[in-house]
Amino acid sequence: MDFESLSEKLRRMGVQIGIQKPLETSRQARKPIETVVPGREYQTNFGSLFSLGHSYPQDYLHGRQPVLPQHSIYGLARWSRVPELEQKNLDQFIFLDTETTGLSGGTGTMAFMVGVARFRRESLAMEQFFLRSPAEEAALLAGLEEFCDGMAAVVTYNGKAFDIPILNTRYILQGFTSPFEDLPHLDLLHLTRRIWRARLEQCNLGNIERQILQLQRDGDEVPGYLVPEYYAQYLRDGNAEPLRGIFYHNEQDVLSLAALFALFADMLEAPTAWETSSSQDLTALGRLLEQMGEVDGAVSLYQKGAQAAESAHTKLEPLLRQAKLHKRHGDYNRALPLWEQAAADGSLEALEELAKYYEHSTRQLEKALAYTNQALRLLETNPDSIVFFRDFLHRQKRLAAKLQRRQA
Amino acid sequence: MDIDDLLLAWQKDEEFTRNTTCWNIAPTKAADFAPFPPGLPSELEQNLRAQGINALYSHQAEAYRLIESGQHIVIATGTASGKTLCYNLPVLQALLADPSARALYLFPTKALAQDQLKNLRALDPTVKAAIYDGDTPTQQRPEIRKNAAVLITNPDMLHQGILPHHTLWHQFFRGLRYVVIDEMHSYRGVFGSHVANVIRRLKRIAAFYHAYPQFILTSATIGNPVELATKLIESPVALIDQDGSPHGKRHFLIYNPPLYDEHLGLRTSSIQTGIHFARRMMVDGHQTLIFARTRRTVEMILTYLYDTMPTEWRAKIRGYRSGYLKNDRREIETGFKTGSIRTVVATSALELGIDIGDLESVIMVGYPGSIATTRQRAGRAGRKQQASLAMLIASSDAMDQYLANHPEYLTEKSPENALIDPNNASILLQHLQCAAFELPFSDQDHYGSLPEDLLKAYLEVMVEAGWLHAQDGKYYWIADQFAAGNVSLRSTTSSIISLKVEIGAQSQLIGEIDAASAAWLVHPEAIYLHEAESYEVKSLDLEHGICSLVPVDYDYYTIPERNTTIEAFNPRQQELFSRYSKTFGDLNLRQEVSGYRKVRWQTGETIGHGEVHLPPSFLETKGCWLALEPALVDTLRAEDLWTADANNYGPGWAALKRQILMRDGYRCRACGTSGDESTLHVHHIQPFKTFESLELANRPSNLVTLCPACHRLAEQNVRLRSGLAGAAYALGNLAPLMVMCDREDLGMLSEARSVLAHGQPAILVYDSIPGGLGLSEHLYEQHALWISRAIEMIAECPCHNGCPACVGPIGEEGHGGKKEALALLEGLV
Repeated sequence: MDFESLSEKLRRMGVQIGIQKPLETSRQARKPIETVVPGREYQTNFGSLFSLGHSYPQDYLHGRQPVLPQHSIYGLARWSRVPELEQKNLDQFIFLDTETTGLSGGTGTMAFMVGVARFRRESLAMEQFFLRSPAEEAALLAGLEEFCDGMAAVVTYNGKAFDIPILNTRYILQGFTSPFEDLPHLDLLHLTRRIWRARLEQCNLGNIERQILQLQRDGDEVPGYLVPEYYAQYLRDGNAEPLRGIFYHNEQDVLSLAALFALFADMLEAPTAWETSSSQDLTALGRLLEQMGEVDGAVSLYQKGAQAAESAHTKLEPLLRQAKLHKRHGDYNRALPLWEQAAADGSLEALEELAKYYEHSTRQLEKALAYTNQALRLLETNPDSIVFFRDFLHRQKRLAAKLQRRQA
Repeated sequence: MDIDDLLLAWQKDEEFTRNTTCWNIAPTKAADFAPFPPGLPSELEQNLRAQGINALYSHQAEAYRLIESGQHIVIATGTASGKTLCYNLPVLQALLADPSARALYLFPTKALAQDQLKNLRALDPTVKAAIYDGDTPTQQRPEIRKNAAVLITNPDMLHQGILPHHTLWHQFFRGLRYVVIDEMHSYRGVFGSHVANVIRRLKRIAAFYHAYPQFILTSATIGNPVELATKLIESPVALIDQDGSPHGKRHFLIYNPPLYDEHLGLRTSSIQTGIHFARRMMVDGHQTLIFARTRRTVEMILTYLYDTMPTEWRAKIRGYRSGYLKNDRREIETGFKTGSIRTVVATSALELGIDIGDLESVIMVGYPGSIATTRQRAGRAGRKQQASLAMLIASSDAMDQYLANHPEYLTEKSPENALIDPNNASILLQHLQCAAFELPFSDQDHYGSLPEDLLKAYLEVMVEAGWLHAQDGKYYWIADQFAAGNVSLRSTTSSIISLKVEIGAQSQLIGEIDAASAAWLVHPEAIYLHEAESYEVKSLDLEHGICSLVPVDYDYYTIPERNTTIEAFNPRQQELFSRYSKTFGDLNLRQEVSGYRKVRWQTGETIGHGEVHLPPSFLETKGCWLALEPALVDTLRAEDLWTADANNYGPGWAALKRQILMRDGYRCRACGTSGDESTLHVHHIQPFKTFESLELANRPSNLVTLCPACHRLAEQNVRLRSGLAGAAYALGNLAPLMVMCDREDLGMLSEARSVLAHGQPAILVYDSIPGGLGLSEHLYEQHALWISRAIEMIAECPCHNGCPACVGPIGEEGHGGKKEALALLEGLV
């Protein structure tokens, strides 16, 4: 059967074949990628491919953030729960970001560009491996593996859900073993969410760049959702001109990864040195340190957080968390003034802790009753805490009874 | 009372025996045992013995032997013959011997999976078996992908959730040794053609991981288990059909409700008869499953049962059909299994492998449309060793009556062939997209048995569509789409209409139907029945998939009027005979619902009409048509046996028409619509053509004022009775029996002046599935037998002038088309 008749037949059967004729505007002469960006042939054992290399000095600033960590990466290693990463060198961390033919995932989604960077001697070296055609995929995967030689961990943004599963799939499809399978993976999206979810509405990389790294991308930028269509169009018409923006987009993404990595490494290694004016950020970092079991760091972050707080509301969390840590270590001397402070700002939780403390630890029943009554007065104007209300009422009754017995 | 005793009592009833045209009793059958096979691992044997199984049935032992020898097999033994054990034993044996081995179990529905998991664990409590379907929690999935040795899933999940992500399953595919396809008979028609392609994709992916699994298929009785299995897996299969399992006494009855008007061929309704027997079963304490042919009939039977049974019985009687929500269905299944529900009225929705336990009786209201389905439904009764009853109540349709008079068709003839066409162009294209998404195609690749040049043509179409990129003999998926996400295995279209009931400001979802049936089930103003409640359709929004309903309490229901016209056709094969020609070819049909009739519940009379304005749909398919040559029409006309010509009403007609309009007050006598001379028609009550004299035909008592809508209907009735329509009616009803398919799989159309025959009369039968499944081609090949069967059917019918059992329902004033239809068909011999 010839093609015309099949296509015609399918159409008559009502099959939707959205024939996408190349757009008029892009109906220019074929323009190979070599004439668009200053890349080179990159040789591998599985053929050659096109790659655009970059090198950035170690003191390179991405936005206002240096790409090189100022301290060691131990803190980040501890966060990753892969203790052996502490023994690794900075140059064994690979910053990776892919551009793909689709956003759905699955075996039919290809990574047509993989941007990778790592520290080498005095600089940050980057390669942007690019598929001039899908036939070069084996070469790309081989080139990527070669670039990553000796890597200890891969650093991505949302790569656990997206980039790495796609690359693993591509390796399997080419009959290779993926170098990323079972490799330690630092997905900075997860860390970003821990620190900034409360303060920033969106934790996508673009927003973090603008708000945290203070970076503005220039006019070459291609929004992520257009990337698959641009590449498909390039495969149809051979005009690589529109891909310039994708190279730029990918390069910036990889740089942002390195910058965020440096930011987090320093933040976790020298938490108290972190320069931020936001109380929420400080409290969030304190929470993270607390979960990592670094109590001293957490306490000092909570202190800073409470100091930096602009409102009673944002102040309560660092106060109470700090007090809780002290209480856990039996250090009531340090917990009590914090609860007092929080109680003054109307914290029921603090009042309860105080009442409990004076009732059970020091048996200063009058004092306990006074805090209880204070809480009950507060609750009269705050009717939705009915459980709290019952608890305090119960406590009040019990304290009154105890006092009576003591007087008798 | 035992069913046997009950039947004994019925047997003494003279009327009952008179109307029972077939009473087949399959006697109790003893088991044919075989010893446990020699290689059976001892732990499996112990677990079998613990369940009280001390030997295998002969077919189970045979299955074990054949599977061990490495062949693909298909097991086609009866309902409840222990087919599960046929594959569980050899598969578990292999898994015990090789920890890296994997097995994939495919069941047509999710409902079956839980039972199967229990079966497996009972045999081997250590087996790593898991269900993987839409309900599997996300956090459990990675573990299942890595470690499940037996994966239980369904074709839809395999298609959308596994194959497109096969790299996540690489360990599974590398170890894949067995693929079990249970209830293979459900994979026919459109669904089967889809599933065959899913299996092609499965094999393609397995081969990528160097796995070439052995296939084990099971089937209920169908005519062509080997052919279907071979078509599904595209490899030779060995057949096991010697059933070694025992069963109790089985009664199979065909009951033909009596004629109450022989002259008009009017028969007691099969629905009322079915309700009558259902009530007797219920009162006598027998759990009963009633199968109805349509969703509407289910609701009608429910309504009547609710009306006539005491209120406390209501909760014990339930309906079951597509359109009910999943949770309601599960509740009904469980209730039926535990016995708290005594009577279920169901459509084919209950058919697919849903375990509802042992039943004493099954009543089928109307022939289900195929021998295989009839036997499967009958097989629902009597799974244990006790006596059981399956009863088919014939409706007044031609096919039912033919079967009531020729019961050997049902009891002796081998059941139908399940037909699939994996290369149906529209289905194939969808799966080639999925396949290209899963693994790139290369020039040397094959896709199932698809011819190389055809595969190439499809790949080129996909390149042109922008889905694939061709480079150096390879084809890469480059579209930003998840290919399988757009493909539904259950239909040719994937859209769903939500049924929402508005009560005040509240809106409640009561069910869903596919968009393809929406135009005729829930067109505006239609009465939609759900759980025996009536709802009126307020609006149908096809674009957003929403149908708004309001509860109503009307005494009527509606029947849609569906119009089919031929848009285009293209003959492929043709044979000319002296008085007619037969043609097989491509067709494009325009289908629309033009209006509806309101029918009163109790009497069945038409009490009104309405118009429907919905966009038409188009069906690109294949058909077979018979075209009458002018010579034959002339002969029939000469014998006064042709009544499809236009009429000349004589010179005084205009004046007479005005006179009648005035007499009737310029109102339609049927619906009361008023109008004037230009909008109202005058109709001959007894057709003009049947009169010898103009005066007699045009006497005022034979004339009546009608509006165009009512007139069209009246004329349609006339046309229906003409010989052409009568012959077409007979042929159309016999066609499913000729090619052994479900009646919904074929459509029928007759035209007095047809484009198919250069303006001559033609009778067309077409595949009702887009692209066709090869049914009408079969008809084309067997046309002579087809015609002679139709003649036999009409000649044998006891009616006078036509009835639903031969040439179609008789119309008003005693004019039928029986004689004319017979003459026409005899002219084709």
